[in-house]
Amino acid sequence: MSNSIANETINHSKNKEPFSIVRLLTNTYFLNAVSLIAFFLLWDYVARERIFHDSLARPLEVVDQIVRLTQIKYAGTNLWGHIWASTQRIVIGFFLAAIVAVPLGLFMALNKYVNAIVKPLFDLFKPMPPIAWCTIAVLWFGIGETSKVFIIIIGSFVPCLLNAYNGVRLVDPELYDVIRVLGGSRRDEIFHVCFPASFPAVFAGLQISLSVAWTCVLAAELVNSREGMGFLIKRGMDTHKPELVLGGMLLIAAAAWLTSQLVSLLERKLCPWKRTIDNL
Amino acid sequence: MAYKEVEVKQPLMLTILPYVSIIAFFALWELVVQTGFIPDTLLAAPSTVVKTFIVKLHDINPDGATMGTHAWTSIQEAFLGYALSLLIGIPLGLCMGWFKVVEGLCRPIFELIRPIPPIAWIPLTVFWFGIGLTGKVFIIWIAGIVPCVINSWVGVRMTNPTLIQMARTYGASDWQIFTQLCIPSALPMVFGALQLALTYCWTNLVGAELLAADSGLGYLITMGGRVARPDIVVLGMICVGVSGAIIGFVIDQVEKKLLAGIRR
Amino acid sequence: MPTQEAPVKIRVNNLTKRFGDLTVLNGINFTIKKGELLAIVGPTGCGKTTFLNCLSKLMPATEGEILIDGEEANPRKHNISYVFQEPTCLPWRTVRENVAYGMEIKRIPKRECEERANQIMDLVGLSSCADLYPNQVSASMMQRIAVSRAFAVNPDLLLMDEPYGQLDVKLRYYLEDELVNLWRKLGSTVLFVTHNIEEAVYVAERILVLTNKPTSIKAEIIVDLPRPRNLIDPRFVDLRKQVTELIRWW
Repeated sequence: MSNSIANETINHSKNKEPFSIVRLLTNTYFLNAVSLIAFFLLWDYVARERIFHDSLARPLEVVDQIVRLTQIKYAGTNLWGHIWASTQRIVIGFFLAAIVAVPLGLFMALNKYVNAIVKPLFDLFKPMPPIAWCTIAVLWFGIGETSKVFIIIIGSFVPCLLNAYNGVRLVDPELYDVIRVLGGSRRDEIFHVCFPASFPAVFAGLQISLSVAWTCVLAAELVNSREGMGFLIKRGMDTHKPELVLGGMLLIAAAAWLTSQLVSLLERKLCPWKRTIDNL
Repeated sequence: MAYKEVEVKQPLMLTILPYVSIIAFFALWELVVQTGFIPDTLLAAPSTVVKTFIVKLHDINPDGATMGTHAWTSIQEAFLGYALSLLIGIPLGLCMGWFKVVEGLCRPIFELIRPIPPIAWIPLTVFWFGIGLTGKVFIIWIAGIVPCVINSWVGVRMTNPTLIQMARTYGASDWQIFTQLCIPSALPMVFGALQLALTYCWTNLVGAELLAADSGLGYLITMGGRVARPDIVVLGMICVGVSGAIIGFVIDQVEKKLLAGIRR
Repeated sequence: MPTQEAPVKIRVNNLTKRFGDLTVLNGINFTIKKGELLAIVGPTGCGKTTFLNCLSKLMPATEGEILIDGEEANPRKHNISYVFQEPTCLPWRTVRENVAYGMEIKRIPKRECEERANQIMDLVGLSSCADLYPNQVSASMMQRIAVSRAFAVNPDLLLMDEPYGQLDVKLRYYLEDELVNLWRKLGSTVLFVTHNIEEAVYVAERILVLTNKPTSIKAEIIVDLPRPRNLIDPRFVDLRKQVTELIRWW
């Protein structure tokens, strides 16, 4: 009989309810479809009626533009070249920032003296928007790759460090007691409690960093560049081609979304025990 | 059972170090510029920046407006955009958290727009609204609305389900549960959104002004770069940072006052 | 004290609940008389919480009906209160407002609300901290708030889901006495679910023992001991043994 003890899995099975109009109307997938179709129809309508004159392209024109970009060379390279140019900058800047910022954040939380030295400087730079560095980066490093990567590093550094720092500081103190009671050393505490427990916070920081990094790369490319998705948008702006602007926006959104999914995937691999909220 | 703050004496070293660190930073900065280690065409010394600040308070050269005008333009844009994003984002997020229909309708569009960095909208807003106030307010609105919606939504979702059941057994209606339980319990998250949205707004404000503006702190930075005056660039950056920090601090204080009952 | 002749308040007919093809509750029939304190005990994981959720209409039952005064139970119409296992205080309301919350939803006039809240807080000794927030009082206080709130609406049916399960023994005795006290003063109809046999025998007038899943009623035991009950009274010990025998699964 013991197999029925503490059988709390009942919540996983669902009740089947009969079909009805109300249930269809409140079905999530149905509503999602309605909203997306309405959105694109509205967009198409606004573009067709020229409410913004010639400054809004129809959805199909945007798709057409993107497809054309894969076939022709635009400013020396085709679509994949532009996507890769931006992604490359992100990857380099993001990794450099994460490699320095995360350990520094962890270290700051673990060592009071490091904290006392670094924290005030960090607080000084924290409120400064990374995009504000664009101009001075160009002044320092010229208009090449270095200045763009520099801005990305500046932008992704702050959230990485902050989250790693808070992640360690907000570890439940009782978790340390578990290790201490078992006779663990300070080293054990750090490696078996501190780091794993702060992982979710670190990953949250990486996610924020990534989205900031995309904003930064875009800003840098808008200010000055010869390739990249930001360049496409900028060129669309200069030549007044809304379909190119919208195409660039969609591409960058897709790229940003994909990279953030990659980080989530990594997170699920590295800390599968993390609690999640349903449907978020 | 009140909690008493206990003063813990910390080593003198720890009290002094932060000041040492800040002073050392500025001293080093001043030194590398004064000694010519970094040429003053690339970086301005802190003392020069202070001088420039005082001059810029009344001098409109070389960028066409005084410090006050720039700051006022930026603050105006930021606040309009920020207020609009709160006004629309928070109720929308709260409703998305509780009403399945609202969520079903709004979520796909929201998810579609969310990954687009707000400054990617700049070209379109320039096409649509010109480089005036409206365009920038639009970009700031887009930037601020994302954290508002997400946090209020998550806040409602994290309402303790037992509390909802409790209210249901007393026969509370959906609307009553929403207003009496979900909204109050989402408040801490919503206040988190206030801070977050402000940071986003401020960042994107600078971006918007870098690219399409004729005054404002971001424009000051751009012009400083264009006329090769690093002191103006650094001054602009510091002003942006300081004003952002001040607004953030004010919101923090308000939050502490309002949430006294909810947080321990 | 209710006698045999007291009218039937709650009638549960053939209550059945299935999740998919898993039957949790299997044709449960019983009645509760007006003003009775009925305890339900059962082995761990026998679906006690599902049982309560069905009774309180938080979950629709698959089959069967629950009648209060001969009518189908409905949270909007009837006063059903539910005291949950975990404390359910609203952190943004003071103790007084928390106690009054149930009455507020029932749209009881403000004056009466206040009077009743004060009366009940006096009974359970919450008056001194009426204006504190829940995060300023102890865990046992929080559970008392929930109990007071439940009693304050003059419930037709008061459901309690192991309300004292997480408290220590001393406090539990104290709160059990308090519960019996409240129940006798206010004459509510109470259904008390617990896994603690001693607790059941101590507070209840009648005990229903549940079987394992699929759950049905295994036995009914009438506890006709005089109050206040004595934990070492031989008859008390006998009853406790009897119930223990009924639910043992080892």
